This record gives sequence, C-alpha cells and structure tokens, in this order.
Amino acid sequence: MEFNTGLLGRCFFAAGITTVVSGCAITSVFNPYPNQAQTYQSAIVADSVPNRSVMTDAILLDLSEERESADGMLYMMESGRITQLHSKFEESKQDFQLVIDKFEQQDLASTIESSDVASKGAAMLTNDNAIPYSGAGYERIFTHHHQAFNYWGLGDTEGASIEFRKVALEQQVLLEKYETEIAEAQEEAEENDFDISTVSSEFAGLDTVAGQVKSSFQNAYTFYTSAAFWEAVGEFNTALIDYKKAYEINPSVEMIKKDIARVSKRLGSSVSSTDLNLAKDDEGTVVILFEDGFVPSKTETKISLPTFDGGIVSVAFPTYDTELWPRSISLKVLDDNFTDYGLTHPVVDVGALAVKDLKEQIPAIAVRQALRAFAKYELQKQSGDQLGLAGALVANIYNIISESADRRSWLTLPNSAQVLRINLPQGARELSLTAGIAQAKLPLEIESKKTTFVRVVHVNNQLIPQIFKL
Amino acid sequence: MKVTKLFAVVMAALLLTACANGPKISYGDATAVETTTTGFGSTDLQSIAATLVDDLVSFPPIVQMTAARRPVVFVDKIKNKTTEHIDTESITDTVQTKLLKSGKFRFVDMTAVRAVQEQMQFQMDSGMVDPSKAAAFGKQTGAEFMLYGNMSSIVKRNDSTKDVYYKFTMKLVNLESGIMEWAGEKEIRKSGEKSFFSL
Repeated sequence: MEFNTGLLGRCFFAAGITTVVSGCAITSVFNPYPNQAQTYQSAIVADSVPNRSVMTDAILLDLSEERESADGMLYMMESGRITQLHSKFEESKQDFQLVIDKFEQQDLASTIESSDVASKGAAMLTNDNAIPYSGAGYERIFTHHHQAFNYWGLGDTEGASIEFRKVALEQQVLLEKYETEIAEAQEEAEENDFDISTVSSEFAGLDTVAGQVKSSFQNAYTFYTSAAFWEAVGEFNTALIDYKKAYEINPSVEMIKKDIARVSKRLGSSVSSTDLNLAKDDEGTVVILFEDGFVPSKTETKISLPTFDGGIVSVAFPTYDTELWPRSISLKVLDDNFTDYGLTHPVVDVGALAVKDLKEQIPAIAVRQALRAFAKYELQKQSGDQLGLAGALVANIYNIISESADRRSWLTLPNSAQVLRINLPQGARELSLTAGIAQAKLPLEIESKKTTFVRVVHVNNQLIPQIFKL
Repeated sequence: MKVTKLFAVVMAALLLTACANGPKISYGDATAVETTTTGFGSTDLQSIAATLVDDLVSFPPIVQMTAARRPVVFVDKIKNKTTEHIDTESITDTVQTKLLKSGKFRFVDMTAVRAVQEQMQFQMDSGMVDPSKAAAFGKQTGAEFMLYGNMSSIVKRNDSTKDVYYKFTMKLVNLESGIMEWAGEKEIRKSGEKSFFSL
C-alpha cells in the first residue's frame, strides 16, 4: 500500500512530530479539558471528609507531573487553588509562582518565537489545544489574588500586600489593553477576508452574560478583598480607592457604600451618613469572603462550513452554554446568639468574566479555524485524489476526531464570589454558616478593633472555611 | 522510503540540539550591568547603595557632625511598597556596610540583639563564666539616629513595552529630638521592549 509515502502519511507524521517537538500536553488535544478538570474539582473537599488526603494526594500528584508540560501553567493554577484550600500555603505558593513566572515571560516574549511556530503548526493539523496554554486576563488577576492569600497564610503580610498591589496593576493593565486588543483582532480577521458574522449568531447568547460585568476584566471581589485588607493594615487611602472601584462595578451593594463612608471618615473627610458599619470599642470586625460553586466550562459547537469548490468541512468552536448557567447561592450567617447577619452580597460573576474573555478571543479563534479548515480540507481532498475513496474517508474521520474546540480554562475557580462585613463582640464566638444544604459551625476568637477574615468556599455540597488574621 | 528519511533527519536534528544545549557556566563581574529582565536586580541594588551613601556622607551638616565623632545609628526595615518581592534587608545591609567603611558611623545590629542577650544571660547565669570577666548588662550604647526608608514603584505595561520606575527614599532621624537630619532619594527607570523574533 502506498499509504506511508503519500501526502496523507506525511501530514499525519508531521502533525505527530510537531506535536511532540512542541512538547504540548497531548492530554487536552484529544480529551476535552473539562472532563479532566472534573477530577480536580473533586479534590476540593472539607477536612472532615474521611480519606480526604488519600484522595486528593493522588490528584495533586497527577497535577504536579504536568508542571513542566506546555500547559503547566493551567495545571498549576488548578493545583495551587486545591492546595491553598487545604491550607498548604507553601506548596500553593510554589504552584502559583510558576504561573506568575509564565505570565511575566509572556509580557516581553518576542512576537514570533520558533518554539511557538512548532506548536502552531501542530495546531494547524489537530486543534487549538496543541497551542500551549497562555492564561486569560481574569485568571492572572485571580492568580495574584490567590498568591496574596498564600503569603498571608504564611504570616507574611508584606508579601501579601505586594501581591495585592500586583492585582491592582494587572486590573489596570488589562483594562487599558482591552480596547486595542479587540480592534486588532477584528482588523486581522478583515485582512484575512474572514467574515465573523457567519459564526457570530452562535454566540449571540453571550452578550447578555457579558453585560453582567461592567468591564471585561474588572474583578470587584479582588477589589473588595484588597480594600478590606488595606483598611485592616491601616492604609486607608489605598483602601478607599479599591472600595470605590468595587462599588463602581456593584452600585447596588449598599454595604460597600458604608465602607466608603467609613474609610472616608477615617481619612478625615466629613461624612453625612451615620451608618458606617463601624465596630464599637468592644467589638471586632469579621470580613466574610464567600466563593460559591465552580466556574462554568466551555462547551463546543461544531459548524459545517462550505468550501469554495462545493465541499463541506466541519470546524469546532468553543462557546459557553448560557442556557445551563449555574445559579449561585448566598451564604447565610448567624452567630451563637442567633443574631442574623443576613446573606453575603455577590460582587463578581466569574463565569461572566470567562465569557467576556472568550468573546474577545473569538475573532482570533475564527481566523485560526478558517485557516485550519482550509488545511484540513486540502488534506482530505488530496488524500481523496491520491488514495481514492478510502483515503478520503480516513482523512475525513481524522478531521472529525481531531476537530475539537479549545475548552481549556481554570476550572476550580468559583462561579460567584460574595462579601459580607460584620462586627461581633470580642471573645469566643461561633458563627453558623449555611449555603443550600451545606452547613458549618465556625469558632472564632474575636479581638476588639481587630479584623478577622473568613474565607468560605462552597463546593461539592460542603462549606470549607479558612481563617486569616491580621 | 521518504518517511524513514524524514524521521532520521528529525531525530538527528533533535540529537544535535540536545548535544549543543549543555549548560555553560562562567564567572562574571559582580558589578557589571545586569539587564536580564526589568525586575529589580543587582545593578539597581548597587546603584541605590552607592548614591545614597555618597549623598549622606557628603551632606555638609553630616560632614560637620561626623568630623570629631562617630554617631551610633540603628537601621530600621525598609518598607517595600513595590509590586515585587524584593529583599530590602539586602539593600540596608549594603548601605550599612558602606557607611561603616566610610568610618563616619557606627551601628547597633538589631537582628543580633536576641543572640547577644542570650549570650549575656549565659555569661551571667550559667556559672561557667568568671563573673569579673562577664559582659555586664546595661553597658551597651544606645543609638542616636535611626536610618529608615521605603521603596515604591510605578509599573506601566502594554502589549509591546514595559516600563518600571523605582523610587528609593532613605531618611536619617535623630531619635531624641525627632528631627530629620538627612533624606536621600534614588530613582531608577527601566524599560523593556518586545523583539520581533527569537529562537
């Protein structure tokens, strides 16, 4: 059989070689990433679950083996969050350090890198999953957000403040970058004569979800967390700026209005409001940071595009299924005297940040898909010409199998993040936390005039609380 | 067969690159200009220390004050207000060493205070040291001045360039009067730009 010496064989071989040379994580090339990520999500469990460490250690070991892979930064984001929620701050810090290093390398990486060309070549004959994962803007913000908690958990508040400053820097950088990026991608699509409107109807549903975030990358949860941190360490000026930014994105949250008034007063401004949510002399403050659920994963939509000579080629696009959008719930907080402190206030819909990020990438993805569709169609046609019907059939099957959308994203992130600030009398207290069917009791030692940060994660029908003191 | 040939070429290329990429190790000049990244580096540390020390020892009132005696100084931690995890203690160490070498100042080392205290406690209480030769408590010289400061940065970044501006401020304050005797500042600007092509 002529198979090996034919164009088809060479192409398959070239695709295989380039995939290996580019050192990409083959795992997500043929196995959709969300399937793998379900295992990682299952590793976030409360301390009380029997055999917890046996279960999670195996998953963490699997993740650590991917550390050096091309998708290393994605796996380290997942691993870093899992280890952090298990209070292994040193391990988590190392994981996120790798992610931060990769992000920083990208900042000044050359426009064209030869190693990059290899993976892009592999992607041309397989799919976008062969391109090393490079992270999204909102993920970079969450990376520094998590790293701040690692330093904080290790008792290094100066380290935590540096990370919170980095978060602010990234929010600013991405905000400035946003406008030009879309314009450039659209320009690129136009240059390549690709009409985005042919696929845009598939993404019409995304607009409403993306509209839920005032800005594409602004993460009010991070603004609020850092504001509360700055206030607790006495940096009122910085705190005021961050509270204001959180309020701009969430003008309906009355609590943040009080935060702004309180900090303004601390800075010496005259404030008309009397309710400042201020701790009395014998009270301490508790800031509750609630993270609910898991951010939705990308789904895939296949579109058959007609070719100029009457053939049909199928291309896969990543999208989000907005019909099945998860509903987030709030955390109810009571103390041991049954005083009801109400529900946490949602400040960010992480799913919406992810949707917006994908929306921005669509023009670039569309251009790559159009080129890939052409390459694959040529492969199919030439194998048909050279090898007859059987060859065309094999190439067609290969196209269908290999055509899968890039569905990678950081999937252990929460779907929604919420905040609540309350004041409690000093002494030993116990908070009762309820979210859906999950409940937890949290003993706290309240010191007057001090701030205690309680982070509660609600996943897999469990509440996982962590305490951070200042 | 073409495939076998192609495979052989690829393997040979891979082998060759593997051979050529062995680590190269060499000694370099510790004071040479380092521009690996826009992050805080050895050149920045050295230039900060050199500028501030020169500034302090040549400041006329300080020259006058140190002409006849060597005041004792305590160095406080430098506050890091940048977006980088910088070892500020290393900067103060260099500043302190340079100032000591200038022969104009003496220092109390607060990082060693606990160890000194333990040693003196041992000399007094263990019964193993001749009491007449033991170092006595209450004889140490208190610092007259405190040297402290902070370091901040402004980072700007877009798709192709990164600009970092560092400002390092140091102050010398009289502990008794609270008067600031001297303040020095060092600014550094670093920019990085993307290249078009790299291997």
